[in-house]
Amino acid sequence: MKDFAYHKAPDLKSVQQLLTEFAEHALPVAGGSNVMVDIRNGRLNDRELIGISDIAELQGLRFSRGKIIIGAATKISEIAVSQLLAAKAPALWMAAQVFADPIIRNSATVGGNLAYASPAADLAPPLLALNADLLLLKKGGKRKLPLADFFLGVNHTALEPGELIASVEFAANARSAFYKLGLRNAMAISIATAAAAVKRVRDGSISEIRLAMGSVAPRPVRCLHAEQFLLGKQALHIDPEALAQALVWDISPIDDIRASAVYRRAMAPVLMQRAIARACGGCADEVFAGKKSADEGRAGA
Amino acid sequence: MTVIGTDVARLDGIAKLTGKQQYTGDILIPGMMHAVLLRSPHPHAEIIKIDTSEAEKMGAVCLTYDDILINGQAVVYNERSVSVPAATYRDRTILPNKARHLYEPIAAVAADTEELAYKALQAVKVEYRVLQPVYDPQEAMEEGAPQLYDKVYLGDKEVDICNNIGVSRNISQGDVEAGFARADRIFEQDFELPRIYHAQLETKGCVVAPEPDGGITVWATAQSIHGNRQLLGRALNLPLSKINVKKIAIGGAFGSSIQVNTVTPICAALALKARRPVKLISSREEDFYSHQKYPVRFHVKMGVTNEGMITAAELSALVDFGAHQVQPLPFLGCVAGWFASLYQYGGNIGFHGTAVYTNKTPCCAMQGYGNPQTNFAIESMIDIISGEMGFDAIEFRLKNYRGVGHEFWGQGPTIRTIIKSCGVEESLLKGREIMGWSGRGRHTDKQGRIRHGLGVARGFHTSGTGGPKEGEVIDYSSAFIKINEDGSVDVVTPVMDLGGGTWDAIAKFVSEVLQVPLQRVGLSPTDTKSTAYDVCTHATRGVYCGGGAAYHVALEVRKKLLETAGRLLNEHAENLELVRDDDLGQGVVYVKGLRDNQMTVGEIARQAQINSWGTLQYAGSYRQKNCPPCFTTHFVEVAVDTLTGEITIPKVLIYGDCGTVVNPELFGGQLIGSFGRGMAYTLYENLTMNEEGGFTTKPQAASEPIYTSQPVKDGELLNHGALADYKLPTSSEMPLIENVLVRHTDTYEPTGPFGAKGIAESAIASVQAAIANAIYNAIGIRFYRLPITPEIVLQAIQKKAVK
Ligand SMILES: Cc1cc2nc3c(=O)[nH]c(=O)nc-3n(C[C@H](O)[C@H](O)[C@H](O)COP(=O)(O)OP(=O)(O)OC[C@H]3O[C@@H](n4cnc5c(N)ncnc54)[C@H](O)[C@@H]3O)c2cc1C
Repeated sequence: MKDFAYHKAPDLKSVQQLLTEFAEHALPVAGGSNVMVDIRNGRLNDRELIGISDIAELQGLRFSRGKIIIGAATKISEIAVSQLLAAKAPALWMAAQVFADPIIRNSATVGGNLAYASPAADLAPPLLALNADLLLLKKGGKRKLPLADFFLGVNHTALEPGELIASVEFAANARSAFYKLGLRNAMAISIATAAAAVKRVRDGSISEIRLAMGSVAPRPVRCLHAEQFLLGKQALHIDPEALAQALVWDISPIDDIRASAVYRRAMAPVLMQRAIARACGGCADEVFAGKKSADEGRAGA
Repeated sequence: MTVIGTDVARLDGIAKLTGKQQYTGDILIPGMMHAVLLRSPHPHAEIIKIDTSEAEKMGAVCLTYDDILINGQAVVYNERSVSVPAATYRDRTILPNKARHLYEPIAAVAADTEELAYKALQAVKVEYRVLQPVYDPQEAMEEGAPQLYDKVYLGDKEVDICNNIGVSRNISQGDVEAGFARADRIFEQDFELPRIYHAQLETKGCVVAPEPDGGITVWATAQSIHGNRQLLGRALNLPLSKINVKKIAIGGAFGSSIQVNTVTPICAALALKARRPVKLISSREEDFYSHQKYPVRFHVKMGVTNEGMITAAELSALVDFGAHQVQPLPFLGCVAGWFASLYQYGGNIGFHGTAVYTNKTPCCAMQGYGNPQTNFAIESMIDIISGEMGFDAIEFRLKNYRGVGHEFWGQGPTIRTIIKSCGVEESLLKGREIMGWSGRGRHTDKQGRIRHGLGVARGFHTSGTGGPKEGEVIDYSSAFIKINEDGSVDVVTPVMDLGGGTWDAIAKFVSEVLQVPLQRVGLSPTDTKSTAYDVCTHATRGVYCGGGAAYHVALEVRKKLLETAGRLLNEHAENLELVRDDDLGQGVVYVKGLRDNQMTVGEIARQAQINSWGTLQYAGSYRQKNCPPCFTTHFVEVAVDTLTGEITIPKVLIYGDCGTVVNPELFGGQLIGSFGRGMAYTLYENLTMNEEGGFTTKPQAASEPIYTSQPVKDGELLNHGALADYKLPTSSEMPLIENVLVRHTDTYEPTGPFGAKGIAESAIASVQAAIANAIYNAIGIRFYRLPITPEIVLQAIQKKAVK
């Protein structure tokens, strides 16, 4: 049997109090879909869990002046059904379609996905490609941090003790896409994921693009070499070999129970090319109106 | 209109849909304790000492090896009891004094709450002498390998175990060498199938209540209530009359509870020691370490003439069955039988089977009992030979298969039957039209990223393990049926329904024989005290054998009904007719030709009671004297993504031959669900374990450590026993339902109740080979090992491209 105590925090103020009170024993928990697993397998023990999933200030999805702001305690299922995101940030929306399964999506949150800092966190690549910022809260202060500076390693982030993610924000970009490869269509931690967000295309050639991948390095990564390579290239006619060559410098995959490093290296360009093609040609409304939402974002679909 | 062959709501449907169905885990008894198991952290270790004193101080009751001794001796048994004792190896006790696989239960602790039981468990101290484990079956047979056992028992005989070889079986017929000599070409090939896990919904559990008379009442996850009772009687030294095992719904099994579950005798011994009811329910992680499917390494050799006749075939099978024998002896016999019964091979058959102890979870039957394994090897081989020799794969099968008039080995070499109904030809001929077989093209013609292929394979399973003569396996069933005083009917059967609809079939047979509306047939909740023996719901015998017994008992009741009616109607019974009258909602008996002279069945039963003539009832046991094969054929279309190696299945045609279809929707459900399991076995399921610490004579290649979020112990499964990390496909990997075509052949089994035989296990037999054959048709690559994962496919595609 594992021991833990649970305190539900009704508002931000009480979270701060509880975090201070229990200091290094405190652990915020939102959906609990990582925390409960770690309690069960013994990685976490004797912690004071502070429930933040009902705090109003951490909820919701807003769009104003070209920016999308998502509260940290927003559930993945809310992202998955959001017409707004399907239209304005399809990469994120597609990641939500293939995230775990409908039951987990009803509890798992955006903040939890990022804060757990798994290399396989499915929301990380699309948010990196969308150049998102995090709003972080701490007793007596808040700060903004680019997501690109947030992930430090496996389960290791730039969060300071007692600091919470309040929200994530980014500029809308309809020309973005995401693909995931897993051992099955649902309830699968990814073998590799790829996200692309095109900022500008001139005469069919790419002039600004952001790429990111998951499960191919100790943390979700921006693919700067591949981005560089793509500049000036015709979006729909990319040489796969050359893209693969560029990606080699961006990723450092390992063998694990899901796949070998070799397979991941082979899959990276396949997924990335698909994400780029979708992002460049992608009209998001069409995506949302699409026939089978469950297929969206799935690599083999 | 007959109820047989029509869809009706399942008898247990409402209870299951509303959550009212009781399973073992739902049993609550006042004063009940909760038990948990102490499991060995070592895959191989002697248990020197167990100190339970601290746990007992906490109020727990503990059970260790010392507690299970009867007159200083531990009772040695085999959990599986469907074979005759002389063909049953015995090697285990309620709790062991040596752990032979990781997480083998070695002590049990019961307390007032589960939480307290876990805390007490942590206070139990165990001293081990750690031994080296051995994991690979080939290496287990080598000189110097750690030995799991010195001796075990076969029936009453003590037998020595050498080189960890548990069982070896050689079976031959005809003249194999002469057969090969007649062949124009000889083909040889190895195949390998992995361990997988049953993943049945209900994890194994048990509740045992001691009774004031010294007996026990038992609720257990079980496929056979009588099997449980007999084993408990033996292990606990109790008269059978003091043991009552209740029939209770089971949440699926796939064969995992044919044997008495390891937790059941432990729970019973603990309850007797505590003198209180005890509940013991396995967690999913524990269940993963309780039973797995037999892995097999095959070597196949076949001789073929240029005219397309197979002249001889030889099969060698190496089985790593784990730490205990849950009967690899009949398993090997069955593998030989499935192999022998697929084709005629000119009558020349050789089989060499070896089953080896390893420090792994024990293997037991799982849907097909060696049949899916054997079928994958043989049906792949048939496809290979067809391709190499330029035969049409369907014509080649039609030339060589065993059909009506041929012999079928339903349960190894001792249980044989002559085939009397067979849908093989119909399924192959019609199937090839429906699926456009002739237009499937060759892999060399296919291009593009996604390549499609069409493959076929055929298979079967037995319906039960009966036969004209007694053999190695026990098979009969029993029933008690009575007509109540209002014309309704009670059916008391020991037969378990594992979710497939066996009880519905039994009720339908009785309804049909006694012409009583199905809604007026009641299945009694019952137990071992009030039923006679039934061996087990296994071997696809529920409908054919269990239903067969109910059918024959119902015929006797019908005879009594007509005799009694004759007395009341002043006619000879043979002049009477029994029909169902849906307006009256009853059966009626009338004098043939004189419809006015009639009585309802209720009136007859009531009058018999008033006249003190007795109840219209009969109890009897019945053995089926055949084990007819139920055949299946799978036509599978695959799409291979040549960039990712992913395989999807756009379309499948499934032919099933179960003779008369009793429950059409359940027939379809069985075939479709089993296709899903077969697809999982072929493309997904991977039960890999960490074998680093195992005995080996080979220099070990330095390998990168596998990264998982948790460390993996020696002997541990990489998924840590978590279903979330055991990637069974979900419904979304299945072909769309409109692309799953299910057909039944037009067949009638003369020896079955209303022409029915089974379908259950046959439904998976040929899935694996059909998929692998389709992959070959798509990309020209043959896979000899399962699972065929995307990574393996991609590797093979790249290797082929380089060549
Ligand atoms: C069966 C299953 C399937 C899964 N499938 C996927 C999948 O397909 N893709 C995927 O990416 N993940 C998957 N996961 C992992 C998990 O569901 C996600 O990472 C999820 O988003 C975590 O969110 P949560 O709210 O449940 O986090 P919690 O478990 O509540 O918390 C996780 C961590 O984040 C911290 N935390 C939570 N919220 C905040 C905050 N606002 N500020 C600071 N720290 C915070 C917690 O302290 C904890 O350390 C799966 C998990 C399970 C159990």
